Amino acid sequence: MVLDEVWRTLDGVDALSGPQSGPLSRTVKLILDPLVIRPVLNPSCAGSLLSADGAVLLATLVSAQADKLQATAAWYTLLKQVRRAARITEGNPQDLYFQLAFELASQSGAPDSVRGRAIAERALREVHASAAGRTTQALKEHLTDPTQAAELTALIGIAWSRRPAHSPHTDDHADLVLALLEECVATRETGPVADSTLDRLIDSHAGTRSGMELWSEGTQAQVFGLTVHPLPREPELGSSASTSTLGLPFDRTVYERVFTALQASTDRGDLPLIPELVTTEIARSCAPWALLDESLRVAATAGAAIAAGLRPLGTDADEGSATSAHRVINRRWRREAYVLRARRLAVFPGDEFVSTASPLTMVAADLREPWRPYSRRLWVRLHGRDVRGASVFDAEEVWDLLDGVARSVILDHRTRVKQALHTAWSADIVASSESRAS
Amino acid sequence: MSTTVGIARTTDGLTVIEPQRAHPSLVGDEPGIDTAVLEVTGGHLAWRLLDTDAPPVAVLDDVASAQNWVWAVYGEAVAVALDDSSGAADVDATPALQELAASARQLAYALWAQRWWPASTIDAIPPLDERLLAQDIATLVEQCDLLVDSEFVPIDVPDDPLATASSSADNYALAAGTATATAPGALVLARGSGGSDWRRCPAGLVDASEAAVSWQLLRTSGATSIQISAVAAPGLGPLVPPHLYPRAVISAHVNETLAIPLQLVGDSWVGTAAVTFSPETPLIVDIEVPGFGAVDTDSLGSSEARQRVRQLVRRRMQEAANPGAGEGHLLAEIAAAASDSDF
Repeated sequence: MVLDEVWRTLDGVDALSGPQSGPLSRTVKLILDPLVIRPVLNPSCAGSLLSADGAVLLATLVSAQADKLQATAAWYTLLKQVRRAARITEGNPQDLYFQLAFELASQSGAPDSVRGRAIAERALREVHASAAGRTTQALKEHLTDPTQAAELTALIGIAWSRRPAHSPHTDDHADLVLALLEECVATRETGPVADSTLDRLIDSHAGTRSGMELWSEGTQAQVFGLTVHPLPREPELGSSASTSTLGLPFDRTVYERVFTALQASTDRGDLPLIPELVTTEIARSCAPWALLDESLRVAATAGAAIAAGLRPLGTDADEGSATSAHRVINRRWRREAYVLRARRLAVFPGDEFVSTASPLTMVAADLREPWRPYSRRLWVRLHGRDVRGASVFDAEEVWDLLDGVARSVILDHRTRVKQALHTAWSADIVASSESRAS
Repeated sequence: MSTTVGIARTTDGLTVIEPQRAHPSLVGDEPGIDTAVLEVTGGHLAWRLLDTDAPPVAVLDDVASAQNWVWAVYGEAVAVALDDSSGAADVDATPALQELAASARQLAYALWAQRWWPASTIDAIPPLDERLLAQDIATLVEQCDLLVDSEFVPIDVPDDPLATASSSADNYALAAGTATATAPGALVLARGSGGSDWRRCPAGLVDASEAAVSWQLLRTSGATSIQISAVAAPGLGPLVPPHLYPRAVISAHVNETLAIPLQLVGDSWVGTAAVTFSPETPLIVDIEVPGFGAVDTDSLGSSEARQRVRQLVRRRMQEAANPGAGEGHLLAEIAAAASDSDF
């Protein structure tokens, strides 16, 4: 509210403002919070209810940058003009250019009428280019070359046969995993905790061990919807991929795994070159959880613990809830159930008149076996991070992942319900079931 | 305008901001057919549309995120009270941004109309144009940037113009009436008609009228059968996916129910089955899509509730038909009102 009032006193920031003249939510998220107010450095400005001192400091911080914010708005407007002229439609312009505009404003003030446009064009090219040979076409050429394909297939065979053997004696990390989940929710309220449970789990290779169990024990990986087979099988190299026909995570070919990584990447320039991407992916596909980074394996382990306690259909949020993390997620899911009924979008599982092949039954399975879509989506996200080498460092990051996946699963469910209830026939009703890339 | 709201924590761990006069509760398990909801950062807002000026109920799973907009919709006093973990009753609520609060309600209404608009050939309530409605929603989402959870309120404008139901009055004329012809020589033992619980069929399948469903009990060559006909929703295309075919559920006695699958024939869903009812048996016929919607049958979807929704929609269409309308009305409503000479 303080922010809203200060913002209204600024001139020339319409491009960053909403219809009520307050700052747009992305203005707050991408510019004001991280670049102007910086609540980490100015704790009295953190949170949405400020003390009198905090309010004064916040107003001072924002007013001090009034000129720069005005210049940012001008740069943003210019970037959008250049975008339109270049017919670029990729991405959300606010997401892509807000921080860029602030950077340009910091470097050179307001855009110069002579050179401004050229600078904007160059900046835009940098944002939208730089795939530098890391294309799906290059991937196809690399993997369909017969000599390459034979060598790489042999490499998969070696990597799969050399998987570490599961040692029968393992420490039980279950309690520690639950403690991590508690910490996840606690850090949301109190900030980072010192002696991190996450570090202890990483140091003791808890993620590696739980990942190895998937290869040898029962049908865990199948139950979690990570493979259609009782135990994961050796991945194939593959020679094509399409986002609409992707299998379950562990059943995906190396081609498909690299393909999704390329598709999901916003800046391919940051990725290794195609041959390296492929050999690394082969090693990854034969690693525990099909992930290389230990912190991400721990995140997968924590995710499995969350997944097992999801109860979207229950009425009591404590049911099945081992930790407060479970309760937070189950709570959101049940709120969603109300919203879906209010929107005339609710399906319910278990009507004996409904055939198992009916899209309604398939959609309702999300609710009966929520750990399947949850684990699948979490793996896809962890895989993306693993490819980029983005480890997780604290409980807060783990929580952002676990919670973000829960949101995505709820959103997916809703999208699928809408498609299944569409009264005009369309072929993608069935195809859209389990096969999303991110 | 100021009202009093209470702040409470539910046993589920949700936080609820509820106007004292919200009645019946919007926090219970089953929403009524006039409940409009809007997904906002940290939770959702809900209004009873028949309660014209009451502020919304907020149901929050993430209070910290919701604090970004609570001050705007409920005022600073509520934001401060919300921060106090003990919960509080009787806080004075005055939206700091009146315009935003009004847009939020309008957006919730538009999203409601997308699913619950009681389009009916029989009642002459034309369907809303999907594209215009999507446009309305896109505009409102922009106005509600501060609070709307844009992930959950996606703006999808239908890109195939043919997919849009035409709202021209000609296209939905005269589908009504007794759609099932009686076989020659058949004796009609009993007949009846009624509406159906909207909550048990997805939007756009069955005409929303209280006269949409008709049945007759027939006697032919020594056998009794029942024929059911439900008028299809205006604008329904011929290629409905089979998993959405409704069925009629006939309740004859307390424990005797019979489900009859229906087929789309022309503008009606029809089905027939051999029965052993006597003509005196009081019959209740409902239409539902298996696997969809509310399981309970209760007053929230009753014919009285439906009648009140129809009145609301008719009143809004009448207002929208005035040349001076616009403010407070959706483009889709104005177009629908203009397409129909009754309004």
